[in-house]
Amino acid sequence: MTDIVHVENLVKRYDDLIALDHFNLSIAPGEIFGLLGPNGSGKTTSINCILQLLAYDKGTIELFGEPMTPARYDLKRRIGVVPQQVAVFDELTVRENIDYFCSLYVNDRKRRRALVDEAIDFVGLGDFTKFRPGKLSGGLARRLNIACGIAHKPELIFFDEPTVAVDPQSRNAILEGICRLRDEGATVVYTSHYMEEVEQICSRIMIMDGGRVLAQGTNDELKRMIQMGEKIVIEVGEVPSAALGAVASLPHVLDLSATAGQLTFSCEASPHSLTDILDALRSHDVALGRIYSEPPTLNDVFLEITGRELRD
Amino acid sequence: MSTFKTALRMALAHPFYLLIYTVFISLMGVFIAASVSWNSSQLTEYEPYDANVIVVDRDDSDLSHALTKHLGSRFELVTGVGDDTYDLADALSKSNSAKGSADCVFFIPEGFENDLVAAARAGEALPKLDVTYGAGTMAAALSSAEASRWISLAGAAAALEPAASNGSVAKAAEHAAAKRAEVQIEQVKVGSTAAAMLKSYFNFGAYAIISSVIVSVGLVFSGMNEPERVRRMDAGPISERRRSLAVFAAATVITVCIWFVSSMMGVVGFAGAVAEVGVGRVCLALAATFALACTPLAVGFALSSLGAREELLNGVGNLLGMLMTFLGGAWMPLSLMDPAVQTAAHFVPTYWVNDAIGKALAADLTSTVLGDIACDLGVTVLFAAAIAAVGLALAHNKSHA
Repeated sequence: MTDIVHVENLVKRYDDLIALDHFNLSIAPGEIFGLLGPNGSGKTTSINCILQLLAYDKGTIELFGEPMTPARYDLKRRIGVVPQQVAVFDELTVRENIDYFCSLYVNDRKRRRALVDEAIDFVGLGDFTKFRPGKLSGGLARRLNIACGIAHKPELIFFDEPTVAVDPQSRNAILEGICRLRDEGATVVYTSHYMEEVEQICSRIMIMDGGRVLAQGTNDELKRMIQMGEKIVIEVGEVPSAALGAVASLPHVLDLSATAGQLTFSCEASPHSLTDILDALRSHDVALGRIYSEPPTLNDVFLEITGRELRD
Repeated sequence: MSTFKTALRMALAHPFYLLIYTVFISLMGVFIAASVSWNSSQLTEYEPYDANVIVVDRDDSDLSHALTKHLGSRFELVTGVGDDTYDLADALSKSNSAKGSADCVFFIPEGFENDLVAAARAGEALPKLDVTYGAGTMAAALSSAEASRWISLAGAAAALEPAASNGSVAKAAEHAAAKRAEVQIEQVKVGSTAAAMLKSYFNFGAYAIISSVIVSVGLVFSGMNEPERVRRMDAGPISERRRSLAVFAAATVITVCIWFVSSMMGVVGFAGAVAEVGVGRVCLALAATFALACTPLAVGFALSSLGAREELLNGVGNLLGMLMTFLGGAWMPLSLMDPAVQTAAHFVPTYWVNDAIGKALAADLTSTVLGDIACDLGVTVLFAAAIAAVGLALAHNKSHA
């Protein structure tokens, strides 16, 4: 099946800074594709290049199996964009905003009216159609932002961090909406800093940094790429330093952090990790409380791949 | 909802700006034009300001008598009030129309004559009179200045003639004080009162057009060019050129509406004048004001290209409106201004527009006059074109940044 998005060797430079370094991307129809990366990693730049909002230095971009250029309005007509900022008109009402952005794609007024109604229902803004955006809460404004991007029923939708600064209920509603769009046949490119969201809805995930692709695959594939196979948390009493030294030197322990009353171990995948650690602690008469063991999260994968140092 | 309609909504979302800048200021222009024109036609003869004064002479000398006589010749001398605190206070507190009322009281102190002559001849500061003001402070201040002038002249006479008697000094001061500058009133020559009123209105109405168009059009362009909105629209299937044309069309419609409302308020306000001047000449003047409206349209566009927001648009709209109408001669005739200001006025479109309006309404419309008017309008439109070019360059740089 033809990829909906196919990017090859994309290079984008800002003077001496390389924002995208031979960036490759393939997205199949019906996917929710997660694009992860720290600030300045090139997520938004790559989306802007794909949408032809930015000129690039090298590479090819194909959408729906056809070359994408700034003048390919026929392809742009099949795309929806939900930007990171709430990009709507404060001077228009909720309905007028959705109608305006829909009118860029759909000329027929009757059909547009039906699409706008559908979009309003989709994001649950039925009670606010005559409100100006300034009167909406943060969550409702985000939902309006989404409605403006999807009202024309695009086949490919770019969501650029759509859940920033919204409450958990609104976030949940937005994520459910994105899954519904996928179920209705749309392909979604989703960027976010919230790992649990990406883990929850994305069928495939790409982690990028410094304009380069560091890893990509399904959630499970990514977790298998990292060294850590298990995270073990043990509630403890007082721990002598000799005991800490003993557990830290165990062969499967990758990392150990000790906080008040709790030890957290990052371990390689091994059937003996937990028993080895418990034996070592007992041998030093450490009182043990509750014990948890969990597989690595996407957050662990992200931090291990992109590093733990602070970014902008 | 189309881009054109959405752009119109950017301006219509701020109805108070349209109401205040277009309607209210134009209405102000109607009142100002009506009052200025009528007043100037009625004033034909100069009349010096008058005041009622009381002189309390405690010196009883040649100089004090001469000063009292001089003040009496220049102002209305109130007599019959003695040197009594209560009587004097009573005279000062009376209303202007009451008999025996006074605007101020001059106290000539004992020894005034000797002190004045001695001080003048010694080159020292001359003595001053004690003056008490009543309710008419302007009249009192003017009469006080007149008294000071007389004392200065007396001091000069005493100093110039050291051997002269006090009586001679008094006569010399009286002779010098009698000389006054001649005042003439020159009427501004206008074709007719009606033409003058319309011209005044169109001159002042430029303020309404400039400020209103800059603010309203600026709001349209800045609203439609907000970066995040543009990014979203750029991702859509409508080309930037097509969207820009729609926005420009909306801005032009708003400009035309503002020009029409402001101009029609003048035409309706001075309907009689229009009938007298003639429709053709008024249409020529309207063409000039329309040419002027192109400049704030270009300014609004250029400001939005710089990223100007509502507050800045208001500030610039008002300042430019005031500056351009001032340099166009709406507040004060240009002929009364400094030559440097008159030269600077050539660099604002209102100068050329007002020149065109003046010619259209006042002169016979010969081919030469029509040529001059066309030239004025051409220069005015060039101003707009130059500013629009700057705006385009700024917008181009911004989109490529």
